[in-house]
Amino acid sequence: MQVFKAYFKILRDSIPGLFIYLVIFIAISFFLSGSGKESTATTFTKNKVKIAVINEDEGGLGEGLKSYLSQIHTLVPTENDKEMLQDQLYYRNIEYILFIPKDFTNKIKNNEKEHLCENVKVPASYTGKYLDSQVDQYISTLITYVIAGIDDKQALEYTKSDLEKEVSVQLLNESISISKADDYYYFKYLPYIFISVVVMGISPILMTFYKKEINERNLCSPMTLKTKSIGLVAGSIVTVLGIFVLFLVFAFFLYGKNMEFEKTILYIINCISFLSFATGLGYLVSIFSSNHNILNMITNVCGLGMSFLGGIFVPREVLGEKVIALSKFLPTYWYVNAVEAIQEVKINPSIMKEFQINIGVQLLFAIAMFAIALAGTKYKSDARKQVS
Amino acid sequence: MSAAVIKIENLVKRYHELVALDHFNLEIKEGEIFGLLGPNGSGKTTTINCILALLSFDKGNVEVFGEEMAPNKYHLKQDIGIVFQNVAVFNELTVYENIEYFCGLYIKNKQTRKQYVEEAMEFVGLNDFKSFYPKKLSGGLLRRLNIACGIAHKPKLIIMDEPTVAVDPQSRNKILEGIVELNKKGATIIYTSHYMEEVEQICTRIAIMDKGKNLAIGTKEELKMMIKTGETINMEVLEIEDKNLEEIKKLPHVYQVEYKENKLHIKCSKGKHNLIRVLDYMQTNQIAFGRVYAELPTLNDVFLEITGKELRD
Amino acid sequence: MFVRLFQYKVKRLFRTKDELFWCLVFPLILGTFFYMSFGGFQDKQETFQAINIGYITTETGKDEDFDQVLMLLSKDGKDQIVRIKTTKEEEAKKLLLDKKIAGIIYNTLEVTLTVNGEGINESILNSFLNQYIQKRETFTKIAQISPDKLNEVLELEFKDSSYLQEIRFTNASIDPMTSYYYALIAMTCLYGCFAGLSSAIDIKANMSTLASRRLVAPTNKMKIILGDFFGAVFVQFICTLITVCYIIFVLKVDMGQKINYLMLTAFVGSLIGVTTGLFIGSIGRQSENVKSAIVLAGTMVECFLSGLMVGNMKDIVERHAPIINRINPATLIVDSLYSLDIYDTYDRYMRNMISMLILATILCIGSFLAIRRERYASI
Repeated sequence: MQVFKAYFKILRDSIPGLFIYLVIFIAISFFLSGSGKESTATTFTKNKVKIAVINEDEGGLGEGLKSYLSQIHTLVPTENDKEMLQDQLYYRNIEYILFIPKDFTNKIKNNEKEHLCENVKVPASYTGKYLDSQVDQYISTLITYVIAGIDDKQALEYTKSDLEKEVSVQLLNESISISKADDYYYFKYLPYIFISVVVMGISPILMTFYKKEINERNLCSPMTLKTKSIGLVAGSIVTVLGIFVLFLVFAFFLYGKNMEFEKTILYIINCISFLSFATGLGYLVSIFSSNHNILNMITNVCGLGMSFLGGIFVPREVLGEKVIALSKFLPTYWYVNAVEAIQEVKINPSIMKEFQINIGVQLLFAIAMFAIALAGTKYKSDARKQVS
Repeated sequence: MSAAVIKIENLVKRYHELVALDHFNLEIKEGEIFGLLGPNGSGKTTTINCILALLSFDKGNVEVFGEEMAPNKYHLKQDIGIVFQNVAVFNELTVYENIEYFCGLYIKNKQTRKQYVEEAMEFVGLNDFKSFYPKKLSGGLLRRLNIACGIAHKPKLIIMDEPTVAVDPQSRNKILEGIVELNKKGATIIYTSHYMEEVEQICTRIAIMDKGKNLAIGTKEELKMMIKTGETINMEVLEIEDKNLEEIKKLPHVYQVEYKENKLHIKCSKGKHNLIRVLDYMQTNQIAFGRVYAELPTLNDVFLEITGKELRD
Repeated sequence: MFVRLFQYKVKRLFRTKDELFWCLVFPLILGTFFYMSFGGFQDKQETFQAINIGYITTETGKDEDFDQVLMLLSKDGKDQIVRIKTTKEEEAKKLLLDKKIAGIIYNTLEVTLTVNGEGINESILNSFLNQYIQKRETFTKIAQISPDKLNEVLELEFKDSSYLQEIRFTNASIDPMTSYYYALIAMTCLYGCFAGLSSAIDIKANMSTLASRRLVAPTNKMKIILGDFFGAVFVQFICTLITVCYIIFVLKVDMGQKINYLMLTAFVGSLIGVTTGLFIGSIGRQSENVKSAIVLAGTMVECFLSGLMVGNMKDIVERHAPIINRINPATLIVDSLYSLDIYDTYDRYMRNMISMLILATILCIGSFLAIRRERYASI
């Protein structure tokens, strides 16, 4: 009890610092969940891209391409002025520029197939690829008709009507929502925040207890190692729960309307499993780091590393196979798995089993952390080994 | 004697409500080892920071080498060396590099600098630790490095702010010897401390300060003269009656008699034959006594009498 | 004198473990994380992984051509695009539910696709089917209108041609993940704040005795601070260059051709990093620990907003609060590098650089005004 009380007395001093962290990370989690939504390519719901088409074609085919694109995208009227186009691209007022050259029609008629058009796109964007394939498909269809000897006007019409044909896509289940809910992104990004806030929240206090002098002083007292450890762990758990409640309240505040009861419970279970790991990590880190700077270093490397490699910041699909194999050794991988499973649980109750496995693995990670940490405490409490 | 190296007049420094220096006056002459003695928080360090123009003050002036001191009086700073109370060295630089760095802020010539740095290391006895990092040095050695950094450029005026705090006796003696040696080589030294023994040991003149005031100033003999006590006679007495105590008090020069825990303390003002008179009295009255010893006043007595409190609190 | 102060500052920084960690080791670790995370992305694009599907067909009414095409595409080998896991509807549905397959393609009366959610594989299937249907439509039409040309157009179909030529206003070629590395470079530059912070603390007598010692020396305060300042910028610049070299030569990320401009950006970036630290160190009387926590958290937020953790964060900020992008040093660094890719002129680049220099100047002036004070009210 003594240790438990002392824990909170020390915590009280570090609250202002912790508060800054919390505010920053709550803001970050808000941004992150927003960005997750925006960055996902929406496949089945067609989204309009802001594009510019510079048509200098002297024949009629270029105009056809332009009007086709204007129907499925937002055409931003611009001059063919390089400076201006660059500016527009820079500020993302347009994301794709298509240049149709003077001899576009001519080239097609002469059966030329290379470099009929030129384009400029926002470097490194998915929308660029999306538009490329649309323009490609249009031109290839158009060429087919022209080669088949059909006159321009007719060819354009046919092309347009052909491209309107699309495969009908069904969803396996009526209740599948195509786009992920906001809460998905919020909870998906939480581990990064949790690692940072939990380690920064509890480790400095634990570190105080494990500081050489204080540790030795405590070792001289009749308090057993067990009592002390229990006190510290209890203090840490209360702190972590406090942090968790804060983020949960924030989640309700933002997404409360859309969150179903069952989903919420599963989210909470998942978060608590991960938080047990984070607490264990914080405990472990505090035993082996000697000052705040080292703590900062470990937190940042662990937080960012686990988030990138575990598939939090980067979609799992993007990760290479080797990285995925590696990431199975990170609790973040299992956390994200569980979050994915939660999305399915309503339409596919059998996925609960997978969910349970994910939770189980996370808890194993947590137990491992605590076990190593306890071994570390034991080692540290053996004063004979401390003399250096 | 010679010209004043430091002249402080009516210096007043306030920290909000607290008056750290209260119309403080001080004059230090060339060639002195001047001791600034006072308990913790009496304003010693504040005085020094004012001399160095690090602190702003509310009133008064500070002259160094006969000129008013200001942050941009570089020609004055050139001749000042300072050893701060806290060890102020770069942890990332070795012993040699540290001394070289600070010396380099004063001495531009490379050859001279090199020679000075070598001399300073020799002086504080850090030759064997030339390429050590400060973290690897013991407390005493670290203090010596701190001193070397302050004096390597051979200043005419050396200010030492409690250079011996938390230093083992061996290092302390080495440091004290060094200070005397520096003085012999011609440097004027200001030495602050709350260890009276040190000050008594090396200082040629001493100022006693408390609560920002200069309470007394003079050589140690002069200071001791200032106070009433000439000597204290202590004797072990197993039994004595109050009547006898009264009578002892009436002896010439005796002004205070105290008897506690089988010890008799008799304080006498200046005068001769005090001890003989007391011993005579004891014999005539047949009072048995054991060990007898007389003490001359210490600076602690001086301080005690002036401020009414012990120096080391 | 200046040179000596500069040398010592450089020496000290290179011996400070914390400094080296944040400015050198951490960027390299993070860069490696990026590489591991996105390295697979390029592999995936180059060596395409066959998509698992379910294929349900009926004997009557099915599209024979599609059947053939699909069989062709699912043949084992290098060009395999899909892998048919099952042809039984019940099993397929079960697999789809468990996400073991990306979709079920029905070839019954018409060709349809059933998916369970969305993702990259789902969208590949979708566009593949779209293309098939559209082509089928085209060929059907041609077969009706001018059947004699059908062979000719079919022949054409099997020739790969690139109708589109991507041009760039510059000749840089960057891959989708470059923005992360740009943000990483920005972060490395901005970690100069630690060196800047220590420079400030070493010259403020009310924060360290070391500063007092330096101030009582007959050396001009400005000289000392400039020696420290440029030493810090130099070290930061070196660290950033090492990071850049690591990215280019070890991780083999294409950083474009304009290496000299990249270096200039790294220099100005380091400058702004150091001045930020100098400024935070100069103002206020918080303890050194508090100040370093502030600069660390502040830098992290700046980098986050410039896209260090999530690549498109900068665009989101641009849409909602563009002013932040104009003053966030991390974004300015990223934008400078980015503008080298978009523009063939250097106007935009220069504008970003000038913004940074203005920012650095403001911070510098602020710091100098704060430090300039010659005597302290209390120490």
